[in-house]
Amino acid sequence: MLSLIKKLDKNYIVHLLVNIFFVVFGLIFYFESFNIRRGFQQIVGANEYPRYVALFLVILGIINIIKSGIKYRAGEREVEELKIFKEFRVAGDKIIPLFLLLILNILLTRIIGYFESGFVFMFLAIFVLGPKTKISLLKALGFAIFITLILYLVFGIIMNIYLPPGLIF
Amino acid sequence: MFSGLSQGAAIIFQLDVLLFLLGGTFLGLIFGAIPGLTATLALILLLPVTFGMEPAVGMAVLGALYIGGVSGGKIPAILLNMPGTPSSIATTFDGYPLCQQGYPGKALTYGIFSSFIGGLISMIALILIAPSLAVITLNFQSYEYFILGIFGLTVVASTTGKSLINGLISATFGVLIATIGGDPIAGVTRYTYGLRPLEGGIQLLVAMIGLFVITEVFTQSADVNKKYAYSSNKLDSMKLELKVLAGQTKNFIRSSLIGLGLGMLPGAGGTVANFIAYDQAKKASKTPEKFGTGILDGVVAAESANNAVSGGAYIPTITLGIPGNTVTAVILAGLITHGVTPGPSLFRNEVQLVYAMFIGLLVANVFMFILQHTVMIRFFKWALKIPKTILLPIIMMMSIAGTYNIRYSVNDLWVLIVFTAMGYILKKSGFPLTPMILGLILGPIMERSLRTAMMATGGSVAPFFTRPYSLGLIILTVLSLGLTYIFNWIRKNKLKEDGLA
Repeated sequence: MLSLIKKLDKNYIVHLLVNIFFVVFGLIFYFESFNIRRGFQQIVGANEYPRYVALFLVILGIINIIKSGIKYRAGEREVEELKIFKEFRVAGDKIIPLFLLLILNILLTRIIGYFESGFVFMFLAIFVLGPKTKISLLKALGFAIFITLILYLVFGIIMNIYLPPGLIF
Repeated sequence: MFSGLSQGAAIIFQLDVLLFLLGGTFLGLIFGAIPGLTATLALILLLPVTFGMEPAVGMAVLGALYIGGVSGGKIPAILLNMPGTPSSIATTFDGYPLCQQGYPGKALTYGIFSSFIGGLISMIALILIAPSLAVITLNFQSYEYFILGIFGLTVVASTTGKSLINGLISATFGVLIATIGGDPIAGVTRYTYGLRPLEGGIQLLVAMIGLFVITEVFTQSADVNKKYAYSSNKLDSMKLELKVLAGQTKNFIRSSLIGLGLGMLPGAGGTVANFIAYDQAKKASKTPEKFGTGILDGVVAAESANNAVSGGAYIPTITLGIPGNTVTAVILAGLITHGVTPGPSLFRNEVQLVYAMFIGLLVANVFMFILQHTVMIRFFKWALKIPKTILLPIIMMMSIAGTYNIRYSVNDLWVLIVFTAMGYILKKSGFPLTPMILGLILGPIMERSLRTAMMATGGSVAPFFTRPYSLGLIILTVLSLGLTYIFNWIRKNKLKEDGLA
């Protein structure tokens, strides 16, 4: 299996996996629709509409799999590799940490508040995105403090937008 | 009408009211220009501020926020490839490529002028023929709204991305996700799996921020050391050329009329209008293959249409009491809160207020034009001086604030994470995200329309084909799909002949 995957074009693998995702997603929604109540006196019930849509998604996904499979067997290959490979090669060390920091930010928002967790996020994100030096670490800290205060001024005071309260703000 | 106009003008043309309108337009532009903030948020935040004003003035200020919010979205759309609002998505198709080619000023200038023209045309139409126009929309029923939804989705699926089937999959996926939560008719809970974040359904703004804003942040993090395409802080010429304007006349008028017409349809409108106008401009063009590469026609079409929607969206709101879109839903709430009952009687009982709102929109349109040519771009130029390593986290923080502010729920932030991850992978794998967003917007409308229609007919689908408006829309849908398929087939054959496939 692993050797088969290694032989396949990586663009094709990604297309295949994404289309399989859509088919599986559609199938889950299709079968789950049988557990949904119809609703009172409905011609097209609350369970039927998503069922038809899910079925349509499954059909489209299968057509796309077959279509790309036929093209692949015929030797048609995409000239350029997909952007996902290019970007991860260039900036995978930034994208993944940034995404994890986003998750951390949301976890911390509930615990220490929006502005406090925002400060932590900004500090780490600026450092992750910039050069990894002591000076950039200090710059990241300084900018994080400054921007957090500006955001508090704008959101918290001027616009009076309600955000999760925290330890300080 | 003239007496109403003079009464409305007497209210609006006072110094303090004009200053309120100027401030409202500027704030709206800021909200529209900053990804993560929207005109809807601006209206919701500032609605309580208008309670202390006269109803006519308060409603005029809300209208100014709307005009600014819709127009401001073009600035990040063109300069950063990040639409500030859903109605600016189509502007990115050609606006950003123009910016990358070194013509951000040109894109912005003609975009601003297009917004002004679109707004002007729709507002003049609103003032002159609002009561008569409302009668036409009364003929649209569930059948037409359902088919209109399908038409909108197929147009978007065919105009975005390289593959029609990928676009259709994306659109269908959006429609399916929109079924999560309570169903729009019977309130039956669907696909929540006991998860609290899903009980209220998927919020459109959360999805949009995840799919477009934060996904773009990740994309731009790949080249943080590279400055934005507009890097010199010196815009190219922002002069309008008469020759160019004359060449775009048909595009201005066609796109504005599309925006006006679609804006009148409750629930449809804004987001669909800029795509349909773009599609029509592409089909009417002698060089359709240039669309998406940085052609002014694309920017003109999208921006004329999205601003023309504003006038059209007011029509069902004030004449029928049915909001034309989310923003006008807030405006409707504002009317009711000010003790005004929207509906046909408004033109009889509140003439002063109605025409003050209309004139306020016209004045805000002028302010929008002036502010965008002067202050807003300088403000944005200053913003672009900020290094990406700092700007990107700021945008993410503002997006989180905007997401949280929808329902004051941390659960929405988790939904944001899911859409971010999904959006990034799908976009980079060749699946366009725009049809998905449109599916999310139109999905509930289509479902409500279809199920209502079927209940009305007892299960018969005949009215979809016998009602003239519905049949017309079906024919348009089939034509649009057919023409797209034929065009793609011709293009592929041509590439094969040229040895480039």
